[in-house]
Amino acid sequence: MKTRTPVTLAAAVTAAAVLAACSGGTKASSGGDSKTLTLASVDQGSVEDVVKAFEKANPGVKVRFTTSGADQYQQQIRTQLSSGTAPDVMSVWPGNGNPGATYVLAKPGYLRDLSDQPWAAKLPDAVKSVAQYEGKTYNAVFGLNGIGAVYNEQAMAKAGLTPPDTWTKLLDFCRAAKAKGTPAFALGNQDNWVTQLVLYALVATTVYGDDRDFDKKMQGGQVTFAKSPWTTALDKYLTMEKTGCFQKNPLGTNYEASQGLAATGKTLGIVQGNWVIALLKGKNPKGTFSFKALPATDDPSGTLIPAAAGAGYGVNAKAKNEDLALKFVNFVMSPKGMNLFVKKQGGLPSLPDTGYAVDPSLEELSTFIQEDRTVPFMDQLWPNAKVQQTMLSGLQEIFSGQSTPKRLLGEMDADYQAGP
Amino acid sequence: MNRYRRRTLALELAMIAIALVVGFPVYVLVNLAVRPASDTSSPITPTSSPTLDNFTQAWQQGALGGALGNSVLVTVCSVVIVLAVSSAAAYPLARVAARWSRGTYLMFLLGLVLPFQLASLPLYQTMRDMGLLGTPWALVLFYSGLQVPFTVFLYVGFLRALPRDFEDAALIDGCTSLQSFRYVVLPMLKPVTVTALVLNAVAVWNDFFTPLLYLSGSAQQTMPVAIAGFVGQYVTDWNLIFAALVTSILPVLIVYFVLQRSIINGFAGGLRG
Amino acid sequence: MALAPHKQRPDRERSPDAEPAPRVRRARTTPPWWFALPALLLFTFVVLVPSARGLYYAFTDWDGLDPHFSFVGLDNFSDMLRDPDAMQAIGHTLLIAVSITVVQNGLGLLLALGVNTAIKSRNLLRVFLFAPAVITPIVTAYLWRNLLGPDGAVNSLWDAVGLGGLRQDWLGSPRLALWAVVAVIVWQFAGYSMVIFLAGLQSVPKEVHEAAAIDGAGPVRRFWSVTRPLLAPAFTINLMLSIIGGLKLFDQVYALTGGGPGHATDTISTLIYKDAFTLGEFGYSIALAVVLTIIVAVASTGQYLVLSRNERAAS
Repeated sequence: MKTRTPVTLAAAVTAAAVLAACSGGTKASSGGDSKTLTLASVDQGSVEDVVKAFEKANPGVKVRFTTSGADQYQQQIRTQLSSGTAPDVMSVWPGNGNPGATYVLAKPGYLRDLSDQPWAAKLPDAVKSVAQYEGKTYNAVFGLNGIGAVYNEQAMAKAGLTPPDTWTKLLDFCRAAKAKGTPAFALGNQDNWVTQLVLYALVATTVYGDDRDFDKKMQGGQVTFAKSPWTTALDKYLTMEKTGCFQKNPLGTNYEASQGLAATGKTLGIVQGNWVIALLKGKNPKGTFSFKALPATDDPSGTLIPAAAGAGYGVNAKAKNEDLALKFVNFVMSPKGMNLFVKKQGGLPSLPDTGYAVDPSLEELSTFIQEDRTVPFMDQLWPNAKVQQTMLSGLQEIFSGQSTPKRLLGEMDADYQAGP
Repeated sequence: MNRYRRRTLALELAMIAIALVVGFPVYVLVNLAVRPASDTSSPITPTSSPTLDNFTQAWQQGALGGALGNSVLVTVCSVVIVLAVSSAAAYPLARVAARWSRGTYLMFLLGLVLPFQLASLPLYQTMRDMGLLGTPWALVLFYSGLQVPFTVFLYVGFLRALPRDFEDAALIDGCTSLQSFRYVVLPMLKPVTVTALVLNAVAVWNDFFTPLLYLSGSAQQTMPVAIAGFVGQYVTDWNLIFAALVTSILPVLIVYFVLQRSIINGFAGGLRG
Repeated sequence: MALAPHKQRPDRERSPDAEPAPRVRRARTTPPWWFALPALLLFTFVVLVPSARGLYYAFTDWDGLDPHFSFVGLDNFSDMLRDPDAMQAIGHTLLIAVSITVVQNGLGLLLALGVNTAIKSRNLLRVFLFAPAVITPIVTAYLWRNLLGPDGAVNSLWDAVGLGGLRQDWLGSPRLALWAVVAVIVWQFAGYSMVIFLAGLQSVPKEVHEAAAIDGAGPVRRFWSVTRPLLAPAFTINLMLSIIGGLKLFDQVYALTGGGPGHATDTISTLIYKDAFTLGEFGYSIALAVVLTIIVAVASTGQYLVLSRNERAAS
């Protein structure tokens, strides 16, 4: 009854597999040569096209690239940099306050100075402030992103509602939407980075509307989170939650699920970065979506949008193939590379003269940028990564009743004051 | 007492009900993997238009073929090495009562409690110095060492419960220690070897964070890494993702079901020690 | 529950009552020490030396990046005592490890007892219930993340059977998320415990049971005085595996909840990861890893000593 066949079979299969696999594996390793560029990127889904175009423009050149999510990328890149095995070109976030950000990586000397590259001087001032460290440019920032309300136009038409432009109208809009059974906005707070977006959109107007120099005052220690309009913004966030602006269970809904809600019209929109539009279209190719500022006061002309440089690319100070690395970065910053990237990501180019035809859905964002009615993402100028992490988990705790706004802002102040 | 009674029937039905509960997630997994993206009905309703398109698409776009090859290579090579060195090590450790033997065994047990985070950065730098990063050999070396403590633990426990008579007889017959290990001890270790094989193969095949770090920057991937990358890239397309997930566990499940009798019997036998 | 003896033949290769022959005229084989050498070298090279080198960072303020850093003595450890996140994570880790150990092994034992009867589907059930254990944890985590969503399959199932009131935000509620993680682990590994217990059960000779039954012992009594002592080795291995596994748990928590909402499901391992790579406090995270090592060592040694004493007492 007990047959030996499976064991014998397994042994034979195993032996064959070892032989095939082990002999095949030796071909795997290939060292870097002058025609090979190594690249690590967080731009999943868009960098692939750019690499393809770059290889096409430079016959014989091969780009070996890896893409990963932000968490895994930060682990990978820090281990590699400190061990001297980092790729030639890598994604670098603008400013500070993130373990893969420009200041953090440029300070110990891991990034090559890119100030001598043709595009460096042309970057708009707002971008320069976060692409530079001590006056030198280290980050090839190719795209700008904004945070606001993205509406599903078909769902809006069906509900007979229009985008609100004041805080009072926003709350009315939420109530009306809820009454129709389709809540106003999808909120995917299970992924903790999503929790900050609504808050940032509200902080832009409430904090910076009256005080564009707020960051300087924070750095000088004249103001704190707890004693500033940040409290107002946080209250408004919670008022939106209480008014029913968001779908049920935001903490059990992740980023992907929230996209599903907004794409299919189960909510009328979503408060997100403009990059979500491309993803919504992926889920619902027939849908049309538009980006609008999220109002936070009753004066529409005072509304600001958080808009800032997205993740760009830096060159390894010890790049094995520096020429090719610079060539790649310059390709990303050329009109062709830049447009390819921002089109796929649904953002706006960081340089003004690329001839990029702005997608109609982003018109409002583009207008706000031209009128200088934007402020950088708040964390980009914070002194360390801890402030943001405290905010992200603290917001989840507030939504689940484990913490209070007062406690959160106090903790953020403590982390901020701990310095770099 | 051996008869199939009404009570036995009730137990049988209860057990089957439990099995259905256990199988439910797998049902949902497969159900979502075989439906087109246009089918947005509840995840528990069987799809009305099953399709295999998701699988072909996942296979091609995720480059799962190459990842599968790497996973097989790494798993097979590491497990063979671990079993060979651990069974050999267990022989003196189980049979010799001297202080060095007990000390060595305790040291191996220490390996069971050390968290991988402690060693990860220094080991990474050693692999760099050896030029193994980006190749599957870094992983083979890593698992060959990492899995030793647990495997030695299994072998020693099993061997200690075995009588020594056969080995003694072999020695009297003039066998060397090596011969006695090869022809007497090793065959007796077969049950625990199957157990160790299964547990090690599952652990190596399923590991995610090590290959992510050691293979990054190269075109090489293992199955879990390819899957994670795939999930990152097709965030919104759950049907496609689920097809990729099914593809990634299918090889393991096939091997498991084909060999289930030897695996479970061997597994059971090996842990009796 | 009736404990009918299994019909399977005893394992011929090694009958459980094969005690060593009388100790007369024994020629002792002493296998030479160098048999252990290859394993020892690999282990030293891959585990011991790097761990010892890693240990050093626990006493520094290294951020994982800047080549300049300094030795800070025990500061990282004293900081830990003042860090509510760390204390909370240690609590969660212990809670998860204990609940997994109890629930997974309790269920595993019940399943093993159920399968080890005259029921017709026992072989099929055995194979089926063990199957989740071979699935990649990261895959099960992705799967369950979807199943446990507000509109996921679990809530749909409650609706379908008319128990819509049981709908929950499983991973979004700090009250439930930790238990959801435990449930996923138990789902995956209960069959694994079952198979190990089954091995122990099948080593209980049928005659012993029958003799006990003839003496008038009921099923519960028979389990307690006949089966349980013989299960001692299975208990040792099962508890050891689930305690160590539970304390070191990382992949599943990371992929299911990322430690959230807030810090509600953070374990020591997820905190090590976050501190090292999202906060750039590498030295501190290694200090946490050292604490984890100590906890695992104490817990596993303790339970090993207790259980092996019981095991000796039982045999």
